[in-house]
Amino acid sequence: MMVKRHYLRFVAFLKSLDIYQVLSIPVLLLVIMFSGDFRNTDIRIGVILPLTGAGSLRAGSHRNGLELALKHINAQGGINGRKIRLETCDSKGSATLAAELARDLIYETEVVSLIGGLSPAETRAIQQVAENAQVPFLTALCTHHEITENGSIFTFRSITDDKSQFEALAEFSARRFNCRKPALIYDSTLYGEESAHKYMEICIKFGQQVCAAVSYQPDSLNFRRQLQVIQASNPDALVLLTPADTAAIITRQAREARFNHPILGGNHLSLPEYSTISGVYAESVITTMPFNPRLGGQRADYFLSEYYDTYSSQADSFAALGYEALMLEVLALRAGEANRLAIRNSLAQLHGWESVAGSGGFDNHGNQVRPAEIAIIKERQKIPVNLEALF
Amino acid sequence: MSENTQKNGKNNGAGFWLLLFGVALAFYFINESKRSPENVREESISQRSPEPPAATVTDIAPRKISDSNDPSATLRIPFSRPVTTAAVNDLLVDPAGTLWAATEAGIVSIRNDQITHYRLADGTFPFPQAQCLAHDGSRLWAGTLFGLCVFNENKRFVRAEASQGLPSQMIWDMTSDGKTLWVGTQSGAAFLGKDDNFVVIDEEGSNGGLRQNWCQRVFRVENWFAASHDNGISLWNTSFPAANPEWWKNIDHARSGLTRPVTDFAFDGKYLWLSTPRGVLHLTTPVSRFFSDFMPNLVSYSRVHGLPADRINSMIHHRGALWVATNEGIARIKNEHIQLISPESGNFARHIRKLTASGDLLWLGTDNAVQFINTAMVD
Repeated sequence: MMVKRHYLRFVAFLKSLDIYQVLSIPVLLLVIMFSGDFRNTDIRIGVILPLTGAGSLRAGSHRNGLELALKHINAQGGINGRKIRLETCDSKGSATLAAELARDLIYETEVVSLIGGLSPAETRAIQQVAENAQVPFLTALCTHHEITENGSIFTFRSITDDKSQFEALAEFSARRFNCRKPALIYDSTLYGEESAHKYMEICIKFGQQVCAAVSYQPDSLNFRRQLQVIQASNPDALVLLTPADTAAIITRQAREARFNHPILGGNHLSLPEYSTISGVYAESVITTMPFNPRLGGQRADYFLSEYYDTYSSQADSFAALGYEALMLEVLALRAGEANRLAIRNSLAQLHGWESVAGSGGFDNHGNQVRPAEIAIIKERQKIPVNLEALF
Repeated sequence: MSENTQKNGKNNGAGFWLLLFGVALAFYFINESKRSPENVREESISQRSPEPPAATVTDIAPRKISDSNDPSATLRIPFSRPVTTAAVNDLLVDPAGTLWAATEAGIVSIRNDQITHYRLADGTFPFPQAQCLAHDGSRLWAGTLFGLCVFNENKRFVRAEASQGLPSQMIWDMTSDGKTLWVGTQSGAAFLGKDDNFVVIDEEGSNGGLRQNWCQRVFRVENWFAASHDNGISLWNTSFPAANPEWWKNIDHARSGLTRPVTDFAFDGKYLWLSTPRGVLHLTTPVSRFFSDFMPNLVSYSRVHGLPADRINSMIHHRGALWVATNEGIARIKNEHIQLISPESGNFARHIRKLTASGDLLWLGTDNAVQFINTAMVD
C-alpha cells in the first residue's frame, strides 16, 4: 500500500516536470559520473617486463610477486576505497618495444606509475620515456649503476645495485681471503665491459688491483683460453661478471683447470641455474644475494607461505622483490594522492621501510640504500656469511 | 485540482533546479580539492635534488674554471614574466620570429604577447604530447612519440604523410640545416629527401657505422651529422655514403667515460660540445679536423668547476658563450669562466629543460613555463 502511494507520488512528480527538466536528468547523471571518476575508479600502475624470451623466468617470478601483493592490497580494500589495477605488458626483452609500451601506458592507459625493466637497455628506454613525461618509475630488477646516477628525478630502484654488490664482494674477499690480485671475466657486450670498469674502479678502495680482465664473445662454451691468460697472471681470486649459465660453465672449467682460489660474483651466481649447471663445482663460491628471508622476519615468512599456497612453488628473490616493489608503491599512494607527482614525492620521502626483503630506503638519487648481502654456496644452498657457522 | 498540480509542479521544478545547482556546486568543489596545487610542484621536485638545495641560485658561489673566486661573476638580470605551459620538451624560434614550444600537452606558440595552444582536445594537434620541433625553411615540423606532424595552412598541426617512412614513430629529436630535416627516432635516424620521403640511416644500413639505433639527439655541424644513442656518439661525414663505416667516427660510453644520456649538442664555431648527467664536455679535436685527426678525447666541466648542477638538460652557443640549463638554474661559460645567472627581478623556475635563442633573447623552457632573458643586458 505504502509502495503504491510512493509510486503514485513519484509518477505525479515526473508528470509535473517539463521537457527541459526531464532532459536534464541524464545530463545530471553524466555530471555525477564524470565528477566522481566513475570512468576509472581503479588506480592503474603499468608493469613492463620481458615475460617471454631471455629473462622470462625471472620476469615471471617478479610478476607473480607483484600479483600476490596486488591480491593482498585489494583484499584489504585497496587505497582509500580504490582498487589497484596492474597493466602488465611483455617487452619481450626489446628496448624498443619497452619504450613503446611505456609510451602507451603513460599517454593512453594513463597509469600513475611504472614498474619494470630487467636489462639495462630496456630499463633505460622505459626510464627515458618516464622521465620525459614526469611519471614515477620503479625498477626492482635492474642493477646497472647508471640508472640512478644520471640525474633522474622520477626514477627509483629497490634492488641493491651493482656498485653495492661489487663493494661488498671486494670488501669481503679482501677481509676473508686477503685477496689483493683478483682477475675478471666479463662478456663482451656493453653491460659486461661497463661492469668490469666499475669493478676495477671499486676494488682499488679495498687495496686490490685487478691483474687480468678477460672478455669473451656471447654464446662461447669453451673458456680455457681465457682461463690460461688469467692463470698466467697468478690471481688470488676470480670474479665472474657474466650471466648465470655462462658463469656455471666457467666455474666448472676453472675448477677442472685446478684454479683453487675463491670464485666470486654478483646476484647472477645466486640464481638456481648457476648451482644446477655447475653442480659440485659451485661449492664455496661467493655470491651476493638480493633476498634473504631472514631479514624480512615474519613478513617474509608470511609472503613465502602465501606464495607457495598461490603458485605451488617456492618464491625466489625476484618474486620477493616484485612483492616489495608494489608494497612501496602502496606506501607512496597511502602517503599522498594518486597522482604522478604526489607518488614521486612520496617515494622520494621513503626512508627506513620494513618489507619482505628487510629494511630499506631510497637515497638522494632514488637508489636503494640496503647493503648487499654476501652468501657462500654450500651444498647448492646459499648461506649468508653471517650464518655460515651454523651450517 | 489542475491549478494545484500546476503550482506544485512549479514548486517541484524550482526544487529540482536548486538540487541540480547544489550537486553541481558540490562536485565542482570536490574536483577542485582533488587537483594538485601547481605552486607546490617546483618545491616538491627539488626535495630530491642530487645536491643539498640552495635557498637561492646566488647562494652557490660562482667560480672560474681556474678556481679563482670572483664575486662579480654572478650575473643578475631581470627575467620575463613566465607563460604557464606543461613541461617543455623543445623550443624553436621560426624565421617569422614566433616562439614555438613543444610540451607534454601539445604545442604553444608565442608571438607579440599572443599565446596560442595547439592541443589534442582542441583538435589542433593530433597527439597528446609533442617532443621536438624543427623548421626546414619552408615548413614547421613537430616530432612526437607517436609520429611526425606538420603545421598546415589551416593553422593546425596534422600528421605528416612522410611520417610513415620513418624507422619508428617514436621521434626523440629533430634538427634542420636550413634545407634538410633530420630526425632521430627510437629505431634509427632519417633525413627528408627531395621527394618528401625519408632516407633511413640505421645500424644495419650503415654497416655498423651508426653503433646503435636509438637516436636520442641529432645535430648538424659543418658537413657532419652527429647522433647520440645508447652506446655513445656517432658522427657521419655526410659528404660520403653512410653505408661505408669508414666515414663514421664513434665514441663509446664504456670506453670514454661518457655518461648516458647525452642530452644536447652545441657547436662554438670550433669545438663540438656535449651535455650529459655529469656536466658539459667538449671534444678536444676541432670539428674541422674530425676527418683527418679524430681523437675521442673529452674535456669536462661540472659542478666542481662552478656549474649549478652536474646534470645538464640543455645547452646552446649564443653570443660567443655557452649557455647551460640544469635543474638548479642556468649558467654561462665564456672564455673559460663559469658564471651563474640569477634573477634581478621576476619569477625564476630552476628546473630548466630546454634553451633556445633569437636575437638577444635567450628563451628558457621549464617544467611548467616558458620565459626569457635579454642577454644584451649581461655584458
